[in-house]
Amino acid sequence: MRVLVIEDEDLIRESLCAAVREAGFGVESAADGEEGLYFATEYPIDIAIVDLGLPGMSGMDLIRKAREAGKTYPILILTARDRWQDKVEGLQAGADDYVVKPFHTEEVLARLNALIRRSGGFSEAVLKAGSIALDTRSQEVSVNEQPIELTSFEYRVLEYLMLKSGKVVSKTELTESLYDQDYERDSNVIEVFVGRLRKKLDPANTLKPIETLRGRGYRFALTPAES
Amino acid sequence: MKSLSARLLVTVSLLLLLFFGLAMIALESAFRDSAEQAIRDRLNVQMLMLIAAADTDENGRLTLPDQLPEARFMSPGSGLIGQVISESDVLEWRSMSAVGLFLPVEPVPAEEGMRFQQARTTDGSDMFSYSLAVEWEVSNGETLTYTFTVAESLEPYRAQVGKFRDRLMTLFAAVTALILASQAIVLRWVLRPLRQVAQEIAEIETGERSELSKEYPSELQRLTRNTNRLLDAERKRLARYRNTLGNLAHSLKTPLAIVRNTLETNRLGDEVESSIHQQVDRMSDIVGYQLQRAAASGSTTLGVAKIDVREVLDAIVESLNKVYADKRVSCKVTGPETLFYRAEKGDLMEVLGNLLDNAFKWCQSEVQISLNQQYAEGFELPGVICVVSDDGPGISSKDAARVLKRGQRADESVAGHGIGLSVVRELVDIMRGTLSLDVGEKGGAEFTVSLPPV
Repeated sequence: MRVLVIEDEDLIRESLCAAVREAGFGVESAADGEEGLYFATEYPIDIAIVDLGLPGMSGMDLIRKAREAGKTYPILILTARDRWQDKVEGLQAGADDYVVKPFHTEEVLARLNALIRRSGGFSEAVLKAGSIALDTRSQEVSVNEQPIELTSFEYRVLEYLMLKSGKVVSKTELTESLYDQDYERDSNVIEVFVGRLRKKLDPANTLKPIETLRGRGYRFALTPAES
Repeated sequence: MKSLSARLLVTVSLLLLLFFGLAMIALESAFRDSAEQAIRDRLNVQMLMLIAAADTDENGRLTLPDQLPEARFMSPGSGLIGQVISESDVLEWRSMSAVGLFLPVEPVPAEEGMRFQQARTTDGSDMFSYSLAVEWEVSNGETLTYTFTVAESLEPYRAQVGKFRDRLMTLFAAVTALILASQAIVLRWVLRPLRQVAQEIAEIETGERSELSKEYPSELQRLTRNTNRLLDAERKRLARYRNTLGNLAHSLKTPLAIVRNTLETNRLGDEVESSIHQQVDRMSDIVGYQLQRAAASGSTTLGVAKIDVREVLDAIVESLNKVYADKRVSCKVTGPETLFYRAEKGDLMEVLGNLLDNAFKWCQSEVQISLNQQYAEGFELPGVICVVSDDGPGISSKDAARVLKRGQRADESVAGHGIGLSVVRELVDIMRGTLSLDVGEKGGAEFTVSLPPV
């Protein structure tokens, strides 16, 4: 999952980026509206955190332009202006949630996770699809209510695929979501992770939760359960 | 004098009075002159006739025949009399028309020649009299000086002048009435733009119009242009002011955000941390609350506009549905599809936003909003009653009293209800409305906001 953080205050941006990275996300960051819009429209982003009071281009305009450019990923706004007019305007411009400054980092992360979940079609913190359940808070996975041991990388591959369920995820995208920007990419590693994941989730090969689409990537095939 | 019409009316009336007064005097005096001249001419003719008829009798005295060519000399009360007196003021002759009358006329000395005067006869009627000193040569070569007098009654002359004055007065009165009436019509026409300005300014006040229209007469254009400029400047100032407040909130809260972040990355021990977090929250609330109050327009009419309350409500519900998506709140809005009210949009959003956010936050799964209007005579727009209720735990009556208490500051606000309700209460006060809190049907809090008709 790649998170775009657009915030002009260096200290806040840096600590937010660090927290987001620590939570297992890939991070892009920008310090002003113009740069932010470039990242927001040109980079493969899964969710954006946008400060409304940006120099250059206002956060509101940035959100509008990103939406006009056809970007549908969730957007979380940070705002110091807590007048409802600003919040409603931001939400109507295309944002999905807001956090008012000064914020607790945990709150931002909680909203971030919730938005990602929601964008994947899951309405609860535990992602359920077929007999597979993934708890985003405890990072525990179970099949038919039997807990399964996954490594951190395996967990993140599964979480990413589940959150993008029904969509084709290329190997490059999957790699990028696991490592930060400048990490050396090796698609063979991904194949190995996916292979191990399949064995652990579906030893009898009956569920077939992850499809391989030759030359295009992977797709999580089970549909999210309505809660 | 307060009224322009009255000023003009009084000025024009005084000018007309002065003009007609002077015209009356001038015209009447001209008329009198010409009438008097006519009388003189007439008397002169009578005089010549009288002198021509005079003769000397055997005693050498002056006599006049009984029969004269002018019949009026011979009929009493004809208004024309003639008389002749000697130098020693002895009456020598008088016409038959003067029987029983005496016209007191002094003898005119020969050097003076003639005298034209007004005199009163013994029976009290006023006359123009023309006296001429005539030197009469008697038989013995001696010369006597007689004073011939012809006099005509003033009555016809006075009647003529009076009639002339009456006609003039009637004419002037008619002209004055016409001028004043047309002035009233012209005034209405001339002052119409002023009434329009007043009307348009009233519309600006109620937010139906943003500036004065452009089609005014050139004399008023400076006024309307300057008013528009003033309105524009005032609006920009208001916008700048709000913007500055927004920036101020931003620049005050960003350091607080940094403090919080720094605290989160550098552990200082639970006690210190929680104390600093608490103070950061408090400062943030106070900044938000005070700026909120400062931004509340209320008193200024410029930011006020006619807005659709339902539309604002729907926008907020839509936003909150996004924010509380995980909670899957079922929110029902009942009431008219459009409901116009006059208020500052930001203030109204603040009131509804805080109440609804509160309901979404505390509800189990249901929020009910009912919108009603209250018509009142003499107002353009009906009052608005908005009831927001939820199925949450509700607010205890003790807390309710504190929430709704006037003059309560943000840092004293009830825990869990943040500064939101304090702001709602303040704004509702500014809008001259009321806020009340009850227990709703579902057992949760039920807030009722009533805004008066405007």
